[in-house]
This record gives sequence, structure tokens and C-alpha cells, in this order.
Amino acid sequence: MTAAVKGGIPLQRPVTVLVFAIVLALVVLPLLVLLRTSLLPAGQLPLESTDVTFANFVTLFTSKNSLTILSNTIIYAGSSTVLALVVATVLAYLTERTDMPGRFLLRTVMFTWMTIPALIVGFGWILLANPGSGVLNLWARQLFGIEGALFQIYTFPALVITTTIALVPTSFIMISGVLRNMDPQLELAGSVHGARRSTVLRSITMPLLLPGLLSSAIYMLMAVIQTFDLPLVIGMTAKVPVVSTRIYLLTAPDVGVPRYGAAGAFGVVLLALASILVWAYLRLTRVQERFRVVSGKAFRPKRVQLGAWKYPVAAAVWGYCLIMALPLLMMIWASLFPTYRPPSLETLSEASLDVYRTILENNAILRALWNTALMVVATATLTVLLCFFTGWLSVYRNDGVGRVIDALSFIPMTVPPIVMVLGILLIYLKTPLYGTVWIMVVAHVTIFLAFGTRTMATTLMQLNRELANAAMISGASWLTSLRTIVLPLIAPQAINLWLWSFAHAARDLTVPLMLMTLANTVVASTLLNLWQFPNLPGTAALAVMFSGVLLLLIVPAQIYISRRYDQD
Amino acid sequence: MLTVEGLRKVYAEKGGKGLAVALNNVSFSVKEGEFFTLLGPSGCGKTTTLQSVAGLETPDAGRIAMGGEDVFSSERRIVVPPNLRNLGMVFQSYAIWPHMTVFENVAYPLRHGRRKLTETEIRKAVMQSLAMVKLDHLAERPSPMLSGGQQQRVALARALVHAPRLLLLDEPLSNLDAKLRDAMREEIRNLVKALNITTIFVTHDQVEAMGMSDRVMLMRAGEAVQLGTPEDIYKRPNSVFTATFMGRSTVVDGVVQGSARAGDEVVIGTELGLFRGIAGNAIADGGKAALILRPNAIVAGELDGNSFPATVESVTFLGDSQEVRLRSGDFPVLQVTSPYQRVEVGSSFNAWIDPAHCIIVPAEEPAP
Ligand SMILES: Nc1ncnc2c1ncn2[C@@H]1O[C@H](COP(=O)(O)OP(=O)(O)O)[C@@H](O)[C@H]1O
Ligand SMILES: [Mg+2]
Repeated sequence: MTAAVKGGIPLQRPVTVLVFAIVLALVVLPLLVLLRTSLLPAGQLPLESTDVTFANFVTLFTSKNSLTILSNTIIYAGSSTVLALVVATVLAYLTERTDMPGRFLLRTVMFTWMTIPALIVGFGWILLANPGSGVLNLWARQLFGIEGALFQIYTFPALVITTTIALVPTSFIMISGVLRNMDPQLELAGSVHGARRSTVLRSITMPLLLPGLLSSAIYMLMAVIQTFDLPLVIGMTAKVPVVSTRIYLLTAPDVGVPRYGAAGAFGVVLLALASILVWAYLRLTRVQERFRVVSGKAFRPKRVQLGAWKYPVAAAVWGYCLIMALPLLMMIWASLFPTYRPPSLETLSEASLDVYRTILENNAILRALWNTALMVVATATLTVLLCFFTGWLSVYRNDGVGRVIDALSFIPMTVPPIVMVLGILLIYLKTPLYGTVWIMVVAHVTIFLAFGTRTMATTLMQLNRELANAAMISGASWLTSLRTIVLPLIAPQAINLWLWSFAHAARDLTVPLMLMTLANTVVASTLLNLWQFPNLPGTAALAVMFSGVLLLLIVPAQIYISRRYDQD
Repeated sequence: MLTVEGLRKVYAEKGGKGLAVALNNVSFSVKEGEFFTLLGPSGCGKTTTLQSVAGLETPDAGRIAMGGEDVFSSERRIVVPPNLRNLGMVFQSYAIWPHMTVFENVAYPLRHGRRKLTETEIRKAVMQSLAMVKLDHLAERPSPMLSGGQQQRVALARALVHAPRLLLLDEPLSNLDAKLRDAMREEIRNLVKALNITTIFVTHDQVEAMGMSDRVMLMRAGEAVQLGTPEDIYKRPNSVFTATFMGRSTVVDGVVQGSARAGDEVVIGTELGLFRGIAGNAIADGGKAALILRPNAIVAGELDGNSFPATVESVTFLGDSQEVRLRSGDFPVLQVTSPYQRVEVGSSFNAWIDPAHCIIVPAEEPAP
């Protein structure tokens, strides 16, 4: 090739170099430190030692304890995924393809539910179904005279069921998308040729759906193996350790010193597991693309008439939604009394907002609220800014630099957040950043980088490049053209990404807990502290306030978006 | 005004590892006030050339100078960014910013350009520019509420408002319907001629190119094929490609007798007989060549050289003209005549071509 002339548009190069360096530092550094740590002898710090040992891996793969943890993780993730997939597929089919009453409301409810932090739902379930004072057990005793505990929250099956319920909204959204992209004319063709509905469902609908269902399943598997909140509040007491809780305990043990080497080894194994899943996911979504090309554009589906089944089916679906909402209702109840009272009509007259008042007068909690606000706003803003540039570079620089940035920004997709945070913890442990809100911002931005870059890249790809070029020809510098033309034109998607990062940073527990010190508590970690203290009414009041704020911020935006996305 | 020398641009092929040469050693120069057109089929490198001039693409090698000053030079390692080149450009999609009014669109080059202007000066210049394209009554309209033709006028006003030294037009007419296209063709040419602004125009339509340009550069697969006035290129094509691209013609393969340089008279032996004509390009002695017969050049005449016996197969009446499909033996030949000339299907006559209208070019090489 001829000698290329470097340079061109000024500032583009320094900005590119800067973005490249940031991405490299955010993504690659933690992974390198993690790998190094997994080879670290016990009792040493990764950046202060040159010793190398494989002892951590040997222990991991020979100790019975860690093999139990691995098998727990696999059974836990596998069974919750399968259950959630079944429930979500039924709900999605009813919403997308039948005339079930209330189907639009159901979609909004599912969207809304994704906003509630799983931690809060976990607390609610414990209040409902713990063997001692669980409300469901009390009622079973009062109504049916059942002795002992009918519902046992601290068991493996209960962990699976609560996780399933937490997982259903996300899977519902994914599977609705799959159903929507499938061409119902193919089904129609089946019916025209005389096949019965059940035959059509089995021989045409299912095979067409399979790639989409499988890729949703893999995505969910990935989500469960890295999930942290429910295994922590339910699984620990139930004595079901999984990899994510194990990593946390190794870095923050109740007694003794952190065992970073062992945590690193678990992290590497989890990373390997996740990489396999991501690889499978990418392959499958590619297959799906092919299916989509064949079936062409999505058509308006012809809805199945449920007939006499219409109302029983609707009742079952809304019954399920009620079960889903029970934990939150329970938390609202618990927040109304300074000392916990089992729910009944008589006690309702004593309800008050005193707990909320106490909470809002507590300085530690006020600081946590302030920290949270700072953290989520900074995270959302920096995520949008960084992803705007990574997305821009991966779309518009079709040379090596663009491709490398594109690839690097995809890596966090493969890395379970707990592993990424472990790496970040190890890097910044001895720096002033540790113990501040900003280390959590760094962690969140890193974790959101993959999703954010995809979002921005897709958006920018749809924006005609000539719009920005016209600005530069008109005399505007590169940055001015981005600021005055590109950013205003992609504002809806940028705001969307901002809200997404905001909500995910707010509800996340992994990052605050792994990086927690006394100085940088946020709402999520405060909730856990209050719960363990124990201050049940306080936990409940804070949880209700927090959920309320999140819902108020996120739901209107989400309803607006799903309206635009779905005009039928 | 503008000099382009030895421009080269290689792209990595999408997906694959191969390289695609988009521009290969492209050179031309444009005079002050000239209307210069880059013409060629889709994918031949017109946009890449224009964007290199604009500074939106960085070529791999070559030199671009404007008014004697290098804006790009691979040798001297100079790349002046687009915003400092003082250009105006109308894009194929018009690139009207949908979040601004018509006025704000046109005012943008004045607000973000190099010169700082007062609000009064900006208003005056914008309204003047809009009046020029007869859109001053729509200044406050949000730009998404414009028709295609109006968008194009706004784009033109925006490209001219800051008095650029060079106006670049990338297929500005291709998104308009046929009637509007004819009107805009006239209007654009008149406007830039009145302003005496140097213009580079890109199109794949030879009718547009011929109707508007002072000079045309025909391109093919990243290379310049021929450069000249529209009449030159139409009447003196230097290759089968130019001849067939610039208008319909019948191509007859043959072998020349003796060698020729461009412009020489030469004789070619073909299936239809011996023809005397003008060589459009250098041809080696006894080399394979092609005879180009323009449909308008074929007339009835005597059978004494430069002619062949023809039978009328069919006639299509088009109003402005009529197409006559001839056959000589097995060989089909196209003729276009005045609509007032009576032609009987099945009749025969002697078709004759003036040697001054016969063009002889080297035989087509296999397409690269
Ligand atoms: N950004 C790009 N990446 C790769 N190839 C490109 C790019 N832009 C143009 N090309 C290729 O360069 C050639 C010339 O393109 P272009 O200048 O747009 O042609 P034209 O404007 O004459 O239709 C084409 O083969 C095109 O596919
Ligand atoms: Mg083009």
C-alpha cells in the first residue's frame, strides 16, 4: 500500500488517543490484574509481589467445597433460566399473539418491574416466607391450621423460584421481541395448508422461535451466573454458596484477611464460563439474523381468539402479577410500623410514616442518598459521553483503530460484573480513589461500556454522515460539528442510554458491596447494612422510597418509549 | 484555481482483507469561474475525489492545491481540515439539519465560520442568500417541513452564504423528479455563472453533464478516462467506454489499416465494409479497433465507401425524434432521425456516414 498521510481533522487524533487510553485502562487493566492475582500466593497483594503459583487453581479444582460451589452455580443458573423461559414464553405469546384482555397493561407492568432492585424483592420474599414469622406461613397456620412452616425461603428451591420471578420481566421483553420479529405469514401458510393449530405451533412456530429462544436463554444464563443479590440475602442462609457470593466472601470475609488469590482464581473460572456463553450467544444471534433476512420485515400478527378461555387465562396471568408484586407490598407494609407487625386489618389503624421521618433524619442515610445521587448522575453522564465517542469511533473509523476500540468496548459484555469489580478493587485498593464514590463510577462505566457503545454505534450508524460533514464544510470544527449537529440529533437515544445507566447504577448491589468502605456507602449497600443490623422497618422505608423514586424517574420514560415502539 | 495531482486512495474492502483502489493517479485542474463536472458510472470514484477536495477524505497520495496554496500534499505532509478550506458543498442527501429552521441552517456557516459577524450582518446575508434561491418567504419554517426541491434550494443557499472560493455539488439533482430536475439544472447553472463561482459538479448522468458543464472529466474504476468540453467528449471519444457512456451508438469491431495518432484519419475494415474516420486515440498498425456510429450521423447516401446496405426492421416514434432499427445482414444498427422523415418498415436503403463523423477508437480492453 502507498504511504498513508496521517492526520486530517484536528483534535480528532488527540481525542481518539484519549478515548483509546481510557478504554484500555478501564477494560484491559482490571483483567490483567485479575489474571495476575489468580496466580498470587496466599497473603500477598497483586501489585506488590512477583511470586507466581498455581496453588489457587489446584485448590479450586481439588477441594470438594469449591466443586460444590461450581455445581451449585450451574444447577442454580440452569434451573432458574429454564423456569423463567417457560413462564416468559407463555406470557409473551399471550401478549403478542392472542386477544387476552389487558395485554398492553401487562407489557407496561413487566417493563416497570425491571426497575425494582432485586435486593428489595429478596427482602420482601423473606418477610413473606421465612419459617418463623413469614406472613404466608402465619396465614397458613391461622386459616388451615397447618403446623410448622409450609413455605421455606431459606432453601435451594426457594432461591431458584425467587430468582425465576425476578428474571421473568427481562426474558419477557426479549421473547416478545423474538415473537414480533417472526413472520406470522409462515404460520398462516401452515394453517392454509390444512394443519391444525397445535400442529402449526409445534411444527412451524417452535422451530422458527428456537434460535431466538436459545439466545434469550443463554443471555439469561449469563445474567444468573453473575447475579449476586438474591444468592447473598437468601442463598447464604440457605447454605447454597455460588461463585459470585464466594468471590465476595473471599475478598470481604467476616473473619480473617481477604484471600485475593483464591478470589482471582474463581473470577478466572467464572470469566471462562461466561466467555463460552457469550460465544454461543453471538453465534446464535447470527443464526437469528439469517432467519430474519428470510422472513423479512415484521408483519402485523393475526391474533388468536381465546374464546371461552379469555377470562380464565387473564385471571391466571394477573394472579401471577400479584404474586410478583407481593414482596413489594410486604415491604410497604413493614415500613409503616416502627416495630414489625404481621399484616392484618386491625393493625392498619396504627400505621404511620414515623419510620420515614426517622430515616430522613439519619445522617448516615442522608449521606448514602447524596452519594447515590452523585454516583448515578456521574455514572450516567460519563457513560453517555464515553460511549458517544467509542460508538463514533467504531462506526466512523473503519481502520484498525476503530475496530480495536469496537472490540475492546465489547469485552465487558463477556466479563461478569463481579469479576470486573474484583479487578478494579485490586487495582485501586492502595490508591486514594478507593473508598470514594468515584471508584464506583469507574466500575459502573466499565460495566456499561459494552451496552452503551452498541447503543450509540447503532444510533450513529442510522444517522446520515453527510449531516456532520456539512457542518465541517460550513466551517465548524470537528468538536463543534459533534456538539451542534450530531449530539442534538441523537439526543433521544442519548437520554435513553442516560436513563438506562442511571437505573442500572442505582439498583446495582455488586459494585457498592465489593467496593464498600465506611465513607462511600450508597443506598443499595445501606439497605443491606440496615437489614443485617437488623433494622427491618428502616430497611423497608428506605427500600420503598428508593423504589418510588426509581419508578417515578424511569417508568414515564419507558412507557413513552414502548408506545413509540409499538403502535398497535 | 484548483489543481489536483496524482490522487490515490485505497480502501480496505469491507469484510475481507483485500484492498479496493478507489482512486488511481487522478489529476485535473479547474480554472477560476469554471463549471467542471466529474462524470462516470456509480462506484467510479467521483464522490471520493470530491470528498478529497473537500477534506472529508484523506487520500493516500497526491496533491491538492487551491488558489496556489496546498491544502493537501502527501509529499509535504500537509492536510488542511475541511473547516479551514473555505468551501461550500451540496450533498446528495442535501444534509439539511432537521433540528433547525431554514434560517438557522443557512446561518450556520456564518455563525461557526472563521469570520465573526454581528447578528444584523448574519440576518442580512442569510436573507440575501435565501432570496437568491427564492426561499426568503420560508426562512422561519422548520426544515423537516420542506419538499425535496425546497431542501435542495436551502442546501444551495447554505453552501453559498459564506462566499466560498469553491462550490462542490455531489449529485444534487439525483433525488428530484424529472421535471424539477430540468428546471433546477438551468437554475443552478445560471446561479453559479452569475456569481462567477468555481464549481465542481458530480453526476452519473451524461445529459446533466453535457447541459451544464464548461468541461467534463469522465471517470471509470478510479481513473480519469477523458477530459474535455462536452462537445469534445461527445464527438471525439477516445475509447469505446467514453463513446458508449456519452450517448447511444453502434459499435462495430474491426482492424485498422496503418497506425494512427489521435485526430488522424484512418481506415478500418469491419463486417459492414471499409470505413474512413477520425482516430479518437492512438492505434497501433493493424491493431484491433472499433468503429463508433452515432445514431444521428447515419443518413441515406450513395454506396461508395463509408456506407452499408440497410433494411428497416422497426420504427419507434418518440415525438422529438424517432428511433429506427436497421439491419445490415445480421448486424443491427441504430439510427435516430427527425420525426418528420418518412421511414417504411421493410424498406431498404444505403446508409452513409460522413468520415468526419466516424470515430475509430482502440478496441475495448476487458473490463478491469
Ligand atoms: N468508506 C469506504 N470504505 C470502503 N470502500 C469505499 C468507501 N467509500 C467508497 N468506497 C469504494 O470506493 C469506490 C468509489 O466510491 P465513490 O467515490 O463513492 O463512487 P461514486 O461516487 O463514483 O459512485 C467504490 O468502489 C466504493 O465501494
Ligand atoms: Mg457518489
